Amino acid sequence: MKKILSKRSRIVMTIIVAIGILAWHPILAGAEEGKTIVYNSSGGVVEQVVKKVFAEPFEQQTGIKVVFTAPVNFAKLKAMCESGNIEWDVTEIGPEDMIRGKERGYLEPIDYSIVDKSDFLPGLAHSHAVPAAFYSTVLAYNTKKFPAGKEPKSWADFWDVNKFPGPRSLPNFPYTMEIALMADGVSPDKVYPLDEERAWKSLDKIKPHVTAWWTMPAQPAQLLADGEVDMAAAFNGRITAIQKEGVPVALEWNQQVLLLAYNAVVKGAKNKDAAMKFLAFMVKPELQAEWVKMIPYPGPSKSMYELLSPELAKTLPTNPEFYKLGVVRNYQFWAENEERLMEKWNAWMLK
Amino acid sequence: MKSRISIPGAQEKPRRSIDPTFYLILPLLVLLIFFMVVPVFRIFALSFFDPDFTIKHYMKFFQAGIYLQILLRTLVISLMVSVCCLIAGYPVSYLMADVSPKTAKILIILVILPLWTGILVRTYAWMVLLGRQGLVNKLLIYLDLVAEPIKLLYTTKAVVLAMVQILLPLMILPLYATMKGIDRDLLKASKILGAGPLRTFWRIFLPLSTPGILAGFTLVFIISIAFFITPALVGGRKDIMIAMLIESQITTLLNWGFAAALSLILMTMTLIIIGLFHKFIGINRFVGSGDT
Amino acid sequence: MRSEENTISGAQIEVRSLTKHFGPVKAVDALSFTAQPGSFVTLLGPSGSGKTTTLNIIAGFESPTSGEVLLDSKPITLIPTYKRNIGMVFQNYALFPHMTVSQNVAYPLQMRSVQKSLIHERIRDALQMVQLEGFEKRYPRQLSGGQQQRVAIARALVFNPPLLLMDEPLGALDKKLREQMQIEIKHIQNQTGVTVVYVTHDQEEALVMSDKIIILNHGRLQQIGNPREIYDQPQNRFVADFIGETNLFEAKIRHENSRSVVALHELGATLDLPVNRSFAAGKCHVSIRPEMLWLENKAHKRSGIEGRIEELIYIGESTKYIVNVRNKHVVIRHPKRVDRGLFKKGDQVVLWFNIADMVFIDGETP
Repeated sequence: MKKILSKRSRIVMTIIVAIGILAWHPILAGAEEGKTIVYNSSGGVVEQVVKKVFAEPFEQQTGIKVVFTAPVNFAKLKAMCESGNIEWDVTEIGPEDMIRGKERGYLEPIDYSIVDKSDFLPGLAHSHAVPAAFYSTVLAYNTKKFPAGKEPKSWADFWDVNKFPGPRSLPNFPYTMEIALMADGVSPDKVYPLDEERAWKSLDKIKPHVTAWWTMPAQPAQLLADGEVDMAAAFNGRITAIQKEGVPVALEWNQQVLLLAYNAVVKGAKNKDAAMKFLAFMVKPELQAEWVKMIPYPGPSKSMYELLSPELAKTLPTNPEFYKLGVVRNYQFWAENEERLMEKWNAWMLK
Repeated sequence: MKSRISIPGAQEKPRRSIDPTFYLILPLLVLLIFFMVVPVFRIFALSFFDPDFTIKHYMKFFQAGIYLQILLRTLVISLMVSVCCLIAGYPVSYLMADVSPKTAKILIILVILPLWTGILVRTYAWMVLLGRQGLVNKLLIYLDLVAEPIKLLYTTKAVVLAMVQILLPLMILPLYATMKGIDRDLLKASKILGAGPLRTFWRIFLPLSTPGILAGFTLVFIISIAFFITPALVGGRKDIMIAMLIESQITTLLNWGFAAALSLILMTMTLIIIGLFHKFIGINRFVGSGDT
Repeated sequence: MRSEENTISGAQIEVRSLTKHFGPVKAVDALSFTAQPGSFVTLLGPSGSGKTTTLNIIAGFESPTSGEVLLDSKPITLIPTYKRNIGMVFQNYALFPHMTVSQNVAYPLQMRSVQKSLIHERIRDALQMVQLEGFEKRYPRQLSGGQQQRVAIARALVFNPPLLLMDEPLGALDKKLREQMQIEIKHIQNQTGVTVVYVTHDQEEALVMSDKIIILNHGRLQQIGNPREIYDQPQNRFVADFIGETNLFEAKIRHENSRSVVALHELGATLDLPVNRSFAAGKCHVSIRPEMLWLENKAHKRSGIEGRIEELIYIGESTKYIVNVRNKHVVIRHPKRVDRGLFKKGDQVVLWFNIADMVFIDGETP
């Protein structure tokens, strides 16, 4: 008798533990379909801001709860789609992964009858993803070395080592070909399709004058702050950050190269419609304005600038005034050519 | 040797069942199998299947000259680092093995101390030192030795210097251990047999310290070969090391098959070089079995 | 062996009031002695007596605090070790592990820039001397302890040094091999004529091998003499006790009428001393070697020093008795020829010895 009892109590314990696990699990927690969506984010601060700015008001308005998981991981996405066990509804996704995800059929097409793209900056409504956050590669320079009136205003100036002497830093990636083309006189809207021949020739000219080829995003800002270089191609956010610390640097929005991350709906998502609704909710201008006040990477909305202070607007790459001066990186091109160009790039570096 | 001559206690290896002390290494063995042998086989498979059997990754490596060039450069930098570590570490180890135990303890702590700071931190420290506005240039200008800052950072020299500083303890510790184990009577014997200090060093101390040289050299060389943060941060554009290439293949290009092939080629090259090194320095001559 | 190879003219070595301090410790304290050319001199003492320090100073591994070492009347204290031209055999042989036997033996010759063809010959002769022909290509770790010892000797003598220092060279060998090597070393020394300064803590070894024994304790000289003198006439209690086994008794000599008598109060005996020698009156010690005593059954003797056998130890060649005489233990050794196994534990016995075998040791130990 004792034995049976203990066996039975073990079964009971197992059931309790199983229920506990199931309750904790995000998908099963809200078993009621359409009432919960799972958002896979990069976690940390981003997750908290998404929760506060988008998810909580969304739940209030629609009754749909947003549950978060992390981190963003292409291999996990691949595994889910191939096994058919889809745990996420919406995921943050990088541009290269978005292209590959789309090609491999891991992503649902965006329903632009639900998501309002009329407020998007021109040319950004991607078939399988909604832009989430922008940043850009800009020309940054030391204002002590190049004070107002004598500052470089374009990549052509960056290439002009006689007029603007001093050590320079460029990214150690083939993306730098975009900059090289603009330096050679190609206007931002003509950078793509990429004229590779012309880009290499242009790169050859600047090569001897580049002191440091950076590989990590923090490097160019550090190089400028240390006086190691006088000019660099750098990410705008890093430059704004060191400006606030009092480092004598400035950035030039002209000919900026815009980069972006997306939100996408996973193919076969259990709550596809709710997910589309959430994406539509996220791109509302007033919420986009709230978001950018907390995270310096703006979304696709252009009308949100009416809601922002001029001081803040001045620091954002999607400010329509700056946006039109730049070029958005064509990730389709890079998805197809990056490996080949990387090999060529490395060879060119060693030459 | 022509034949084994029975000498008590030497070379006799009678057959017997497994020594119970073998089980002491079992946990490590299991750990190694799961975290070393299995992953290596996985990488091996990854480099040959995509998803069917292919040697395209290896073809790519040997056809595009650039990868061989980078491999060669990696080996040359690693060799330079290892040699510099040896030159810098040998006298320090010698000193440590020669001073009183109390002083030796302090020296060991000083040698180990830098290991407590991360590689990144120490690399940044070198950037601060060697930069255009760095301490070294400021000192040179202050001393009127140069008028303009000279280029120290973003050069191969900077890479070697920073790597030597980072890896030096790994050279010193095995060297010290070996030197400490050298019977001082051998040095006395050499002297009374007519060898001056220099000849005693060359004929006795140096050969007897070769196991330490080999251990330190191997350790530093293998770790050098896998370096990527330091060359990326303080190196010039030509200082591409193969680990940087592997890293970009994995994280940016997602070409894991090629990354796996690169890793295996690197591993094979490393094993060959270490093997040759051991063969030529001839460690087995007096620490292994006598049948050489 | 060719004749010119085996005639080393041994040097005279003289140590003059040698003193060595290690901090507050006087490792060697004003030591003086001379070793004649071709002689075998042993520094004997317990550990910490200063014998190895003395050897190290002669070799040049240590410099003396004061005093001098003269080799054939030339002071060598300031000459660096490698220029002294002295052979040395170390306690653990100190063979170079990365060199073969012949490379080891060649080493001192190479250091002296001896011609290559000659080196070969000299190695052969040296290995022949220590009976190790055919071992040239072996590494030290492939040799037994005794073989290593022979290589060490060959290496120390191959360059014909006038002086050979040996620092407890047989300490690591087992008894049988040690005794064999003792004879062999003596043989080689006789053959070569080299002067040997030998360090040991083994008094038996010292007695067997030495022409002259220098006994040290706490850095100070206790006695110099040939083995017989050291054994038969120890000059103080330390020497008497350290060399061999002995019985030490407190004694008091007094003069009665024209005779001298000695009172050994521990044994309860007063004995007449021979008239042909003169003795100073007063307290002193008397040493009697165990083998100079013998026992008789109490029943057979009228009188004598009486005791009871407390312990009986059969050693083979002899039998050792520990006899209780008035609560003092006296050791007696009967050689096999004399002992018939008549005594057993607990027997009451009478103790005998010749008065001439008593050794008088002066008063209080220095």
